[in-house]
Amino acid sequence: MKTIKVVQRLIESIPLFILTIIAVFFLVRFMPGDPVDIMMGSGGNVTQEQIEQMRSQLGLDKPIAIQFADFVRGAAQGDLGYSITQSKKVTDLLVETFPATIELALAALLFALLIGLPVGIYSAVKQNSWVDRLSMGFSFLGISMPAFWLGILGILIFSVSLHWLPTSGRLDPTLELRQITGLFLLDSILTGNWAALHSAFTHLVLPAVTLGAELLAIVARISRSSMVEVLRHDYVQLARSKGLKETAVIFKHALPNALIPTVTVVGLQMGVLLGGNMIVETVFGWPGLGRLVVQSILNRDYAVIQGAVMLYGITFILANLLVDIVYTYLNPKISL
Amino acid sequence: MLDIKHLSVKFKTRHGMVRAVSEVSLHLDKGRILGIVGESGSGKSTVLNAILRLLPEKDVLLEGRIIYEGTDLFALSPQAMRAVRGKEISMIFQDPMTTLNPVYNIGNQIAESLKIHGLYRGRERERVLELMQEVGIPSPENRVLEYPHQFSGGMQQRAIIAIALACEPKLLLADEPTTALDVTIQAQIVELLRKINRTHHTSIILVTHNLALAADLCEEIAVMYAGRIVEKGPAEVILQDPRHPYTRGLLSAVPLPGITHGARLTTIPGTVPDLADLPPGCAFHPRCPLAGKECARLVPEPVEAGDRHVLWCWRELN
Repeated sequence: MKTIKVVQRLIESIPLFILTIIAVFFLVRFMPGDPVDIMMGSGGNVTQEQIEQMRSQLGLDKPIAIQFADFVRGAAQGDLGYSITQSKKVTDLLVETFPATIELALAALLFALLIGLPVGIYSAVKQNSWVDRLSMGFSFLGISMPAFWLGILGILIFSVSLHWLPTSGRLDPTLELRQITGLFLLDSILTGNWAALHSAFTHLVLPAVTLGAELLAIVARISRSSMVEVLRHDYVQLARSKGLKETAVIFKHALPNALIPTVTVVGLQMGVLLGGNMIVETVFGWPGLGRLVVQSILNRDYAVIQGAVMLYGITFILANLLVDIVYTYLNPKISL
Repeated sequence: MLDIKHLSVKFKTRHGMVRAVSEVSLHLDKGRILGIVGESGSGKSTVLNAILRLLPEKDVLLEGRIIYEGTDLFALSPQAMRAVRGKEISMIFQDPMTTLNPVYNIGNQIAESLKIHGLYRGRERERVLELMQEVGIPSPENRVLEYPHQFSGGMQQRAIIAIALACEPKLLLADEPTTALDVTIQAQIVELLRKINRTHHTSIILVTHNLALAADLCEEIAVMYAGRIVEKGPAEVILQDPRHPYTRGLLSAVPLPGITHGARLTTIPGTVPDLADLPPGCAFHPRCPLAGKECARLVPEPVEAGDRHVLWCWRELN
């Protein structure tokens, strides 16, 4: 039953996906700036013929409709074209960078939930206590601070001044790590490579904290306010009147209800985790999809932008579906 | 079985201490039904919550004693108090729509009480079905796995009563159990409470603003006004021969079968006072048609008006 619904939902998201592809295909072409001009540089020792030759080689001289048809035909066969700046297949670039982005996003999500939820719950239970006021004050800061600023601040304090954490990258370049999943933390555990685990972890901390800070603040605030609201409900009082311990009342009766709005908000914030990584990956030199997209936009590397946005789209759709599935388990009133 | 002695409940608020309940003393024998009647804000629900110690302890000051079967409930450790809740004394709430937990199915919520108190081990399911049958939920086998939102209001209230009955408590506290329900459903719930009282000899304290309901179900009635009991006694005495001006006002404001005799319904002028700003003396005196000088100065002393019939009124004394 549920599987059928999930498949149905996936099929329903295909039009959205197609629209995304169309939008990005045309948007990159309407961007000011020409890829060939950027490639050839501004030296001036390039002839008009060479430019024309380059254009036709890249297929950029064809009418835009034909270009689109070529792109769709290629994409359907799993060929997303070549990067004009990195001389690599776009699919290879995506495979190289995507695990880094996923690792960073998951770490940020985990960081936000593991700290945000307990803080929110505790603040709600001890409403108006100094812990509550302090944590809500900090979460206000967390929402207000832009990621690039927080990231640079983190580098200045923990890398430059204290030398506790590295400034950029995913792994110490002197270390070797056999890749299985592409998630370095997981791979180093799977291969028992403890030196790599330590290095991967220290590299991950600052970017993950920077990316997750805003979500952490949002999770703490939402879980607090929904918990406060839920604790006022009669069913909490009923649970107490049955003779349950206060901890059981909070975790068994109040929390599952408070999680429902929290999960909704986290689902909506998935886009922030994916989109926000462009800034964070750039600040920390994290070799992921976000940094690749930023470079490709600067270089007008159309094929890479298209491929990356397609991948973002798929990830976003799947993440939302996952949130919806989790939601049905939390709320018996909702089915997919 | 239950003796409430000089119970006072004060809430700590931003504007200082507010007395929600003052000097309430009540007595309930086994198998009896006691009604506490009053307008909203009269402190009647607070009395029920004080019995089970369900009021938030850091914001509330409790005075007096509540003796249940020889034990002072206020002297119990939190752990011992939890053993009383749900097993010895259980509670039915006002609004069934918000009293059941939306994320657990009905069967789970009924069985939880059994699990907490370790009763009917291994036979929880049979006991849950039996309870659902008893409170009148049709085809329990099909409904036991349903969620609260799949139940109607009346069925939800039956499920809540099943939860309350699970461990066969000796005392049932019913806080406005019919207020949120349709009139026809109200009558069914009242019948159900009466049946429970007869078959299990469960004592019941019914809190309601509905005098007709209290008249129908209760053997004794206490009338509360602004946190104090103003009159208490056997139900038929309170209904036939009320002595306190407030009780009289209440009675002439409600059509009661066999009592009102086609008389015009009247209203009590004025409004219920704010608990944070109670008038001095008898709290009812600003609205009382008989009020005199002494009523505004001193809180009335109890007056015996008959067998087990007591009221607090200066007019009655003089």
